This record gives sequence, structure tokens and C-alpha cells, in this order.
Amino acid sequence: MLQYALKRIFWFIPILLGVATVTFLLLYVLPGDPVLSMVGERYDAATIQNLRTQMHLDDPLPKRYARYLSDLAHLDFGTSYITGVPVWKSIQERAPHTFRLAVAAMTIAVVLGMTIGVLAAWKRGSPFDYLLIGGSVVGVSMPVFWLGVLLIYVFSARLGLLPASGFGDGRLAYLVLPALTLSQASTAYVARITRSSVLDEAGENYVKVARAKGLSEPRLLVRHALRNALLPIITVVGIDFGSYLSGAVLTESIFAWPGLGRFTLDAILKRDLPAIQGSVLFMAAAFMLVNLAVDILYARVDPRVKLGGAA
Amino acid sequence: MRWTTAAVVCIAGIVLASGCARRENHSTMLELALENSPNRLDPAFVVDATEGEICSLLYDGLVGFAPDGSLVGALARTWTISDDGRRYEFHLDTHATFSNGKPVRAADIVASFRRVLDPATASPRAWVLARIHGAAEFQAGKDAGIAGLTTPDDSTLVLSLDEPFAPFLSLLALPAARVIDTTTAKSGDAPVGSGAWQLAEWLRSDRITLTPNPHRARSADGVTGIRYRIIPEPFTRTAEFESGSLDVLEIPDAEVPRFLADKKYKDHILKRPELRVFYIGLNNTKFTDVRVRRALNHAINVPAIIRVLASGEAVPAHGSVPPGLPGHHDRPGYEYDPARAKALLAEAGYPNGLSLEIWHRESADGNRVVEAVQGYLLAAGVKATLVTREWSAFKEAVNGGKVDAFLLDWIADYPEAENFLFPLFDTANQGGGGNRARFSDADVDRRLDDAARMVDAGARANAYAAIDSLVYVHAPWIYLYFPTSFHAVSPRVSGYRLPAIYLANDFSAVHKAD
Amino acid sequence: MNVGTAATAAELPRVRTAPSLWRRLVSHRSGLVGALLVGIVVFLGVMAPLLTRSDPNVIDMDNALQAPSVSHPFGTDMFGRDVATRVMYGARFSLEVGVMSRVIALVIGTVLGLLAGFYGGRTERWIMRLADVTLAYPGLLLLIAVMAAVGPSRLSLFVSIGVVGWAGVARLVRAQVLTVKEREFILAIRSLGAPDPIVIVRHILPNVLTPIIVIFSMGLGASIMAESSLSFLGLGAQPPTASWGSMIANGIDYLRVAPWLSLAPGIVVTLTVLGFNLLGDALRDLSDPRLGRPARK
Repeated sequence: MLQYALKRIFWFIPILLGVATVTFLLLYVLPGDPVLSMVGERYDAATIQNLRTQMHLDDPLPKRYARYLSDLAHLDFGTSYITGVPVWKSIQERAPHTFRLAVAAMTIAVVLGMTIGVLAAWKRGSPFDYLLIGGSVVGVSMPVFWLGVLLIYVFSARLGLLPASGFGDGRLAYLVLPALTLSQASTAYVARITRSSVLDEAGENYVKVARAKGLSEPRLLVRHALRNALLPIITVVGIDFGSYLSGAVLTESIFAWPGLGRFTLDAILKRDLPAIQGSVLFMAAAFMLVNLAVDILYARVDPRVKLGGAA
Repeated sequence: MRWTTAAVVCIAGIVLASGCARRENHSTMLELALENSPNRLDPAFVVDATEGEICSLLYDGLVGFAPDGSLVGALARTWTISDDGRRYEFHLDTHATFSNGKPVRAADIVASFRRVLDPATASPRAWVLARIHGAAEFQAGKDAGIAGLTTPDDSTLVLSLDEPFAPFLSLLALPAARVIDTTTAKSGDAPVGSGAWQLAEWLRSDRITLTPNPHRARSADGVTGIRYRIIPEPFTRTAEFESGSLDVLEIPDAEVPRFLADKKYKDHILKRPELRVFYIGLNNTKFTDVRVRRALNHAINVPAIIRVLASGEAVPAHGSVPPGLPGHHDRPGYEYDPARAKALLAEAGYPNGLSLEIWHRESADGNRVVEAVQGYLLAAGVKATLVTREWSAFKEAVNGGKVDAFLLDWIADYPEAENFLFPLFDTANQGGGGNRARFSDADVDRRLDDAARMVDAGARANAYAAIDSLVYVHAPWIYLYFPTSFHAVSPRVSGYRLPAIYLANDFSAVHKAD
Repeated sequence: MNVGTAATAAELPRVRTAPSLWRRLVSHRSGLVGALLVGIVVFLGVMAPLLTRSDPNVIDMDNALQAPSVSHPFGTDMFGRDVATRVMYGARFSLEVGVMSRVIALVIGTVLGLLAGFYGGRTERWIMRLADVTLAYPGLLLLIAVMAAVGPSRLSLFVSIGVVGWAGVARLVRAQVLTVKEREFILAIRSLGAPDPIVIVRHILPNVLTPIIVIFSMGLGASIMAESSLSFLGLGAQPPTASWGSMIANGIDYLRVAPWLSLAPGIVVTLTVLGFNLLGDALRDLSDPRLGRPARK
């Protein structure tokens, strides 16, 4: 296991290098002079040139790439062109918010999703079942930004129950709407997997025997069937968690959530090169770590799965 | 069954508990919202209105703006100006104190100015102070100090200019001329200032919290602080105001009619005609035929755009100087007349219309205005392609004269017609200086130069009005409108006023009931 | 992005050379619903010019923000344009972008997947690492960065969404190829000396065609969703082009005043993506239920 994990981590480096290089090249190509973001409305050529020299923007490409890589090796992500704050500091400020949102979304996905799935399996075939499953399929298909807007409209503007944006003073209330929105697709998948898994199990012999013996049905379903649903659920949630950490850009934008996704979006739009490079690398690394964790967890839960056959 | 019930109850409990908890809004701070996060709050680097507004709360200059836009003393209690308009003598308020307890002395002011002019600081607003005698030599490294700034004693500052410049006092109210405590300045953070408020917390992209400057006198039961939250979506801001977590809302244009009609809000709405002009600049080096430029003006139905998209109360612009400023003049405009537009185009050699690109920045309201313009132009035979770019790419292309047309606005830094006409239309300011339409006319340049030297306010106003008319005849822009903004204020808040200039914000008199 | 992965060759099903799926599709209920939805949207999109009276892009400010009525079933927007017309033209746009980008993803992914699976060794490792790099990128952000870099246009939408989607296709194709490669008739042909390209194109490819079709349709919903998201952010369809995403973005500010502006496109895009998802899932179920994995965002 350890060997496997180490081997995977070893491969992180070339992949991150690839990500870093691709980002560097993309940004080189981005139109727009970052210096202009910094100088406001009225300025002159001398000020521009001063800034360009300070930021080494006029060096030739290979030299800039080399400097970029060497900075990275020292874990120096540079300083934001726009805010003047070290990028690593910004990431440290924003990452916990994204993490909180991701955890909340994951919790909702698992709890709500499994609940819906079990209910649907229990009432299989009834209109309730169709409604639940239909609702969850729609949930996957609805654009995230639209759901977010609808939720704000209903729960904040109309009913005044929940705050529409930001993370306020950290109370749970601020987390509810964004987490619900973010977890939309995951909840739907978890519900479907739970349901089909429960139904599969329900057909098994040992279940029929237990039923004949008079054990109450829901307990059966819950205890035995859910265990089998666990594997695919872990996979889904794990992968999604990884992508939540990568910043759910749209959700964070709509809810003004001060996370990494919005930070990166703003940075891209403002052409804040160091911020973009730093946060993209961080997110890619987080994503890969989570994937690794999911694979390991997967292997522990299901002894049949042998690690090492990774794609 | 137990398990699912438990789960359902849990979830419901969480939602409800958080719902209940949230309903109580006991904040004693003034809760405001911003659309964009300010990048810098250091006065030497403040470049836009958002940053400027907060800056004016944290830092004082020699002078400041009263809510009605007139100049009042801030760090300077009184001042005299010599007859030739070149020498200013300021007598400082001896009680002025930085928020860290140090008194503000004349030397601090000089140090702040030096920092802004110093090439090593690379301040984008050094031009504000560049007219000071000796500034050029200092910037070129020939002088260690600035000859035109002297401090006969701790509470007197004498400032000399190379040439008289009537609006110079207004420049001293701008952020770049505001005073910081240079002995404790830090980069990346906000320096220490002597304004009515100090920076308590700055969580970038989430919020900025200000608390009162303990060394300034203020009313006992005013708000305990000001909190700006960054909320980019207008829709979300509105929702927050309606649910009670925001105290003041600049009402998005789309919602104005609804708020005005809603009895909950209609008595709590403040209206402000902005010292601001929306326009579509035309590249005058490309569209050299004035008939084409006038045709484009005739093609647009500005009143209809105002009615539908700009909350109905904006004023069509028949010039660049907004109403409310001396130098504004109500002159007849280029009326909406698509037939005339087509005729003019045909006359100028474009019987089949023409094509152009209109560049603009990303903004919900701007997007809509420019799309309407595109539609109108199409009806007059002009095919316009819209190009969105973010700010720096946009600036680079526009300032470099590479685009056909661009949507922009210009907001007054200080309430003078000069602040519009000189940067926007003087040949010397082509490109980054403000004259992005690349307009150039020797007569206009000469008149601007003369007007800057006039000392009599009335004569100056007339002169600027005449210049504005002259420019309007040349139609360097598609003139749009002067906007009016509406602000809804929570009934719990009293004493909130809308100043004419964004730099005049002062929340010292604001109270909030429980 | 729906980038379903199959981790090990052991997990893979045998590939059947597929008989027509048509028969089985008809009896698959949710698949039918999906097909129906897709059919309606495609019909509306293709026939839009014939079905609508007004030009979707001509403005008429005097009729701005009209509520839904007989002459304007979904009302008019803030420029006086008929929303129903724009929704239909939006269908055209989204379908075009969705299909074209998916085709590009498919072509690139299939080619690379075939090469990786067939040749193995270094080729496979490099291609798969490249896929990993692409997949390691936080999904939407890569799209945003690319669109910001090259500027929004139809072509750049096709290419960027397609390029971001190739990795999942390649992985699946490679996994499929790995199984097919070991089958007897392939080994036989190769031992007879058939040149590699012929083997790949004439013998392996047809046998992975069914999964490829399934992968294609499973990703369509995601492509359309990606385009909507980009248009919502202003990086996709440009004014005055009608696209559901940009219509929703424009309509949000009017949600209290004219809710139909974002409700109509919102419902339609949901139903469209739903239709493609159901259809894709049905095709997968019918050809092989173990083919796909749940989606990533």
C-alpha cells in the first residue's frame, strides 16, 4: 500500500510540471498587458516601463520560464500583480473556505443522497420513486448557476430564511445554500447509485431468507445493501470532492463565496499571472491527492480491488 | 425507518436552526456592499472609484470635499493663495492625529508627497502632484527634495507651482495627495492615515472592515464601524438588502421601478445625479469624416435606452460635462433619426453602411447598453461586432488606438469641468491620459490652455461651456447619457447622505437603530 | 465534464460487436424519454428559422419586457426581442457547439486512445500522462483560461471544449482496445503480417465503435453544459447571438421584474441536458452497463 502511494506521489511531480508548463504557456499567450491593470486611468510611458522592468516582463521566454521554474522549486509562488499580496498567502486565506464548502457539499451529497436513494428503493415503483429519481436526474442536468440563482431567489429574497452570499461570521447558515447548490450533481448520483445498489441486494438470496424469517425490510436494506453501495459512492464523492477543492467557480461566483475558484477566475480575467499559476498548481495538487486518497480508501473497503493497475 | 427518519430530522434541524439563528441582525456596523474588490488601498496606488471611496475614509488630504462637492479644509484649517495663483500657504489643524496617535505635522505631508513623486514608488498617480515647482527635477533625480514644498514650521506648509492652475486645490483632495504616516508605511497593507476611520480588517475578496479613528472627535452613538462586503452579482446584493443584511443598496437599474413602487422602500430611497458620462468613444484617427461620426449619433435612440435600461432618470448627454457642474450647458443634441443617419453615411461614401467593432469591459449594465447600441446601429445599416475584454487587455488596445469604438464612462475626480474636458479632449492626453478617442483640434487645445489659467470662476465656466459645444460639433463620440443612481437605505439607518463626489463620503453622522 | 474512467482492464466488459440498438432502445423507458426530449430540441433548433416569425436579434425597445402573451409565448426581453424565438435559436447554437466539440474530443481521443492501447509501452505512457495533465486541470478553469486567451468565437468554443474532453475519451478507448487487442482473430491477423495501420483501422476500430458512440452521446450533455456555463460567464456566445447561458445571465438581474427571461432558457437547457443524459445512459445500459463512471465537474 505504502509503495503504491509513494509511487503515485512520485508521479505527481511530472504531472504538476506539465500543469505548470501548460499554464505558463497559456498565460504567455493571453492578450492584455498585466501592467495596465495596475496603473489606472491616467499614466505615462515611463511608469509603464518602470513596472515592466520590475516585473521582468521583457525578458525572453526561456529566461522567464527558467525563473518561473526556479521560483516554484523554492516554493515561491510570487506576488500578485494586482493586489501586491504574496500568492501563497492568498491561497492560504482562500483555501479553507473552499475546503469548508467542499466538506459541506460532500456531507449533503452523502446524507441526502443516500436518504433519497433508500427511500426510492423502499417505495420502488411508486410515484414517489419516480419523483425522487426523476428529481435527481434533473438535478444533474440543471445548470449549477441556475439552481444557485433559484435558491437565492426562493430562500433569501422571498422567504428571508437564509443569507444570499458570503460566509459572514462563519455561521452554518451561510453555508447552506452554496453547499446545496454545489452538491447538486453529486447528490443525484449518490441517490441513483444507492437506489440501484439497494435494489440489487434486495434480490439476493440471503435477503429473501431474512425476509422470510420476518426481519423488517428497511433495516435489511439499510444494513446489507448500503454496504455494497459504499464503493461506488466513495468513488463518486471522492472524485467530486477533488473537483470541489479545485474550486467550484460558478457556485462561488453566484454566492460571493471567498474561495479558491473565484480567486482563480478573477485572476484569469485580470491576467494576474502569479496568482493564476499558483492557484492552478495548488488545485491540481489537491485534486491528485484526493484521487489518491479515494483509490486507497477504495482498496481498503473492497479487498478484491488490487492497487497498481492504475490507468 | 428509524434511520431515514433520523436523517431527515437531522437535515431539517440543521436548516431550521441556521434559519432561526440568522434572522436576528444585531450588527451595529454600517453594512455596505461593493461590486469589486479594491486592489490597493494605499493612496499612492489607488486608481478607481471604489478604492478612492474607501481611501477617502482612511486618509485626509490638505483639503477635502463637502457632501455638496465644494472644497473644505481637512488637514489644512485655512489657506491663502497668492494673486498670481502660484503660491499656496496652508495653515494646518494642530489637532490632526494619525490613528496610531502621532500628530500630523507639515513634514509628514511633505514626506507623503515625496513618496508619491518618487520614481522608486512607481505610483500611477504621480501626475497629480507633478505641477509642483521642483517636482520634475526631483523625479529626474537632479534634486534630493522638492523645491516648491517648504515647511516654515510644524503647522505651516508652503507650496509653489510652476504655472497657475485654477483647479489645483481640487487635485489636493485626490487620493494621491492624501497623507500617510510614512514612518510606518507597509506595502501590500494599507498605511496608517489620519482619516475619520481606520482599517480594522481586510479579507481580500470578502470584506473590508473599518473602525473609527480613536483620535478623532465623533458623535457618541454613531455606528461602531463600516463593513464593506464584496458581492459581485447585483442580484445577490439586492437579495441581501431585502433580507436585512445590507444597510444601503445602490439599486441595480433593472430593479429601480420595483423599488420605487414598493411601499416598504419608497420613502427610503436617495437619488443622485452622477457626475459621470457614459459614451462610446470613436477612433477619430480612423473615422475622420465628421459626417460618419454624426451619423452614428443620429442612429441611436438614447431616450429609449434610458427608459428601458437606465432606470428612466438618466439625462441624455449633449456634451461631456454633466449637469451640476459649472460649464454644463443644455444644448440641442443629435436627435434619433435613422433616416438621417443613413443619408449622412451615403453622403460620406457609405451607401451600403459600414462595419465596426465596439469594445467594452465586462459589466452587466454595460453589456446591455452596448447590445442596444448594436441593435440600433444595425437598423441604420451599420454592422457592429461587440468585443468584450477584461480591463487590462481593454485598456491596452483602446489606449493604443487599435480599436474602432469602445464603451467607457468618465467619472469626476473633482467637481470641475476641467476634469472632463482636459483629459478627454486635449491632444496632449491622447491615449492613456484620457483622450482615448484620439481627438485633436488646435483650437480646442488653445482654449483649454487659456481656461486653465482663468482665475474668475464665472469666466472659466463660460469658457468650458464653449469648449464643450465646440467639441460636440465635432462629434468625437457617440454621446450616451449622464446616469442617475438610486440608493435604498434601511429604515434602521439615519443620517446617511449621498455626496456629490465619491471622495466626499463621510459616515461620521450615520446612526443605526437596533 | 463527463470523463468516465475505467481503472483496470480487468474491470472491462467484453465488447460485443453491436447489433442495432434501435430495438432495445425503444423498450428502455428513460431512454425513450431522453430520445423524445432530444428529438424535440433538435427539431426546434433545426427548424427555428421556419418556425419563427421574428428575427431573434432585431431590437424593438418599445416592446421591451413584455410579459408572456399569445403573441409572445415567453414574453420579450429587455431589448424587445421575442424570448421564444431566441430560445429556439439558442437551441441551434448549443447543439452546434455541443456536437462539434464532442466530435473534436472524439476524434482526438479516439486516435490517441487507439495508439496508446495498440502500441503500449512508451507511447501509451506518454499519452496517458498527457491525459492525466489534462484531467488534473480544474475543469471549467481550463476552459475559461483558453477562452480568455484566444477570445470567444464559435471556433474557439468548439476547439476548447473539445480539447478539454479528449482525455476521458482516450482513456476509455484505450481500455477497450486493450481487450480487443488480445482476441484471437486480431492475433491471427497480426501473425499473418498485416501492417499495423490496417489492423487498427479495419479490425480494432469497428469493434470499439459502439463504446465510442456511447462515449460520444454521454459527453454531449456535458458539452452543452460547458457551453452554457461559458456563455453565462460571457466567454461563450457573443451578443447578439442567442444562447441559453447568456440569456440566463442577462435575465438574472430581472428575476424579480421579468422572471420569464431566465426561467425559459433555464428550463429548456435543463430539459435538453436531461434528454442527452438519459439518452446517453440508455445507450450505455443497452450496450454495456459497466462502461461509464459517474461524472466529474
